[in-house]
Amino acid sequence: MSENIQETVFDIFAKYATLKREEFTLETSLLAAGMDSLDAVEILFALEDRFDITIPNPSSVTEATFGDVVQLVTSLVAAKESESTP
Amino acid sequence: MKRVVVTGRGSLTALGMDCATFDQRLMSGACGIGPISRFDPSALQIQIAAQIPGYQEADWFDEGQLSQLDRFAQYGMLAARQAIADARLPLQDEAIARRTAVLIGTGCGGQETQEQGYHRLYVQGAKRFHPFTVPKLIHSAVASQISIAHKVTGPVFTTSSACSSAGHAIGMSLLMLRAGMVDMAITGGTEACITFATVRAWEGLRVMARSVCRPFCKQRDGMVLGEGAAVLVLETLESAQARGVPILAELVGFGMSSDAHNLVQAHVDGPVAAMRAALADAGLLPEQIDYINAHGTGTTLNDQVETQAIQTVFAEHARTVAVSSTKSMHGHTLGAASAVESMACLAALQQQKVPPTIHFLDPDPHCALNIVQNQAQSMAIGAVMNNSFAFGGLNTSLIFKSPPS
Repeated sequence: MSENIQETVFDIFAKYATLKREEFTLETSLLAAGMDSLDAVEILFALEDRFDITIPNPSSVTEATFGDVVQLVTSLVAAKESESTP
Repeated sequence: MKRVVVTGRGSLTALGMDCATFDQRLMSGACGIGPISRFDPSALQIQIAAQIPGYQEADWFDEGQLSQLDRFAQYGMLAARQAIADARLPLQDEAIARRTAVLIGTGCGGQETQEQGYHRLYVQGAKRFHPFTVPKLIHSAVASQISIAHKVTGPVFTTSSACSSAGHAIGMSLLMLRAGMVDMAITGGTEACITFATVRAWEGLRVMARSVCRPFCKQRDGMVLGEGAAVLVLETLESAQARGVPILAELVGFGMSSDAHNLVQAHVDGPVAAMRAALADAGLLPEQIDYINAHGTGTTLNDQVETQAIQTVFAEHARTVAVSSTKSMHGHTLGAASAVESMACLAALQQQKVPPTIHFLDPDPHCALNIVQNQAQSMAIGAVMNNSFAFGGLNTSLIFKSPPS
């Protein structure tokens, strides 16, 4: 996939975070960025929809860092692409 | 038994975004029915409806709120907000908020959310629904959202009985107030049913008018769907007097009944029973009712059956009591109808004027009532009756009187 996954994930986070987009780092947690569990549910939906992946039910989303999410999405996207490769 | 009065009102209908505009347009005989503009109706046989003019959800709610608010809940929220402000309800007082109810009727609930979800799922092949699809579309979402927004912690629920939904909500509020369960109630109805699939489904019943709605008139050809919400603040007379707020009217009677007959075919007995029960509850004789805001959908059968029912209950007075169907102006708002039409009744009491049935051409000999035609009529009005007779034979009748002096 040629698109920058991190940029797209950050774009989605930016819709829900109280933290400014330019202050995002891979170490920022969703909680620290001002997102609650309801935001997280919407974010998971937006990520699934955007990347056409299925994210397994996480144990605690808000404690995850942006880096965790980017890594998870990257691996799910890679898994999907390897499946669809003939 | 405690007396119950109306101290606030709010509405959002095809006749306008607030009650002042509603009253003004209602009494001038304005028509809120027109071509459907919310979506492309060109594939439909029925292409008219009574839509709220110029309504844009983004004008009223931010993106975060909208992810949890179907259109029916948006309308209910906005009407409730108006009514609460009008009544100056002191809901910041936790003890008062605990003694306040929110009872809102809706027939269809989150129809738009459901329809858009199914379109994505079945047509576009989407693999998932938006996570708030379920909480957004449930019928009770509107009552919950009003409760959350205004921190009302007393009894909160939704009534659903098709076109009598709001009548049942207002009636249940009255009973709870009389019983001393609550001191105040935020009650009414909301409906947002103008969607492609809903209109198509209504077409199937073959009861829809093609151009205008002219109830009780010989040339009538059916009903027209309308959308919107109306909310009343009801409270005990003693609470209103203690707060020193203006009283708009007294809610004196409520009757309900079931035809136990047919899901769609109207029957005379049920409406007769509901109207008689309301009169008995109010302690009024039929002769003491000056105006009936009829269910008057504009279908051949409803108007004929309702006429027979009024004739049965009112006997000789059926020739003189003023009758109109304001659905000719704001459309049939289904689950919100009884609430929207309560607004028309309040306007009638306040202005001592009967709102008209517009587009009226020739009288139908099968509907031999004193129909107020095309122009509002000034007259002395002390008590008014508001009828709603729903699919499934579920009937409500409310009686309002001028405020106690």
